[in-house]
Amino acid sequence: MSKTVIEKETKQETATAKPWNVVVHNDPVNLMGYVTMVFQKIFGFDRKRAERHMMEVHQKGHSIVWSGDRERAEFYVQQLHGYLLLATLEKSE
Amino acid sequence: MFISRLKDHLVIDRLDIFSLEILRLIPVSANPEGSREAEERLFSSPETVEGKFTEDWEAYVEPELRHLFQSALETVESGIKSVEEIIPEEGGIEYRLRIPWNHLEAWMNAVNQARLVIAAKHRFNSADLEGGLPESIESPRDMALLQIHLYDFLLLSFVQEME
Repeated sequence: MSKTVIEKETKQETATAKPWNVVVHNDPVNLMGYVTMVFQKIFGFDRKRAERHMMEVHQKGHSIVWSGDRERAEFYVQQLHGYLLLATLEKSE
Repeated sequence: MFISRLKDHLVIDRLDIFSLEILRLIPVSANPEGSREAEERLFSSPETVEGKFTEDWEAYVEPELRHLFQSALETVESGIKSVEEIIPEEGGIEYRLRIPWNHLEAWMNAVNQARLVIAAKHRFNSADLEGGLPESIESPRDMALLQIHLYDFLLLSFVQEME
């Protein structure tokens, strides 16, 4: 009985929880081709999608490259830092 | 300098002594010591507003990143030691460097570390970096810009080979 209650609460929490964003920020030194390659490697984006995010970073100063659960978002931020990109974890508004 | 792809490694061929010396500088140039800007660029914050995540990051993730970056530099340092000397028919000396395929990620990481640290130490902005090669080398800053351009060529060549 108690297990059923916990499951219901968990489902409700998951449904209302706001996702976490992985945000990549512009920097003048990282090369466009390199950033595109990193997006393809980490997120499995095809070239067109990777280039779209890269251009967004370049032109708007940042791009949300992934949204979802916190644990995975933290993992992606760590991966991006490993490739020396400026990346932050932010809660979706 | 020519880069070609063989079965299990890349070859950087026709390296002159100057280009080889620039490659030898990668591990030294990637050292952020003495520059807060360079240190902060390599180990940037994972949050725009620093909180508990940043604390945990500094305790657990940053040491892993330091290890990753150091290991990449060591791979490059040891790779450069195995450079081959070539005496072409027309005379002079050229050098050839072989990079095993499984070392390519480390090379990319090390070259990019060096680029970022040099840019941070010399406070290069977009205009500096997009302005092309310096017309002459008259200061350490000119030399640093030349170095970055050579590393740009190398890094983009590696990216192309990864595709």
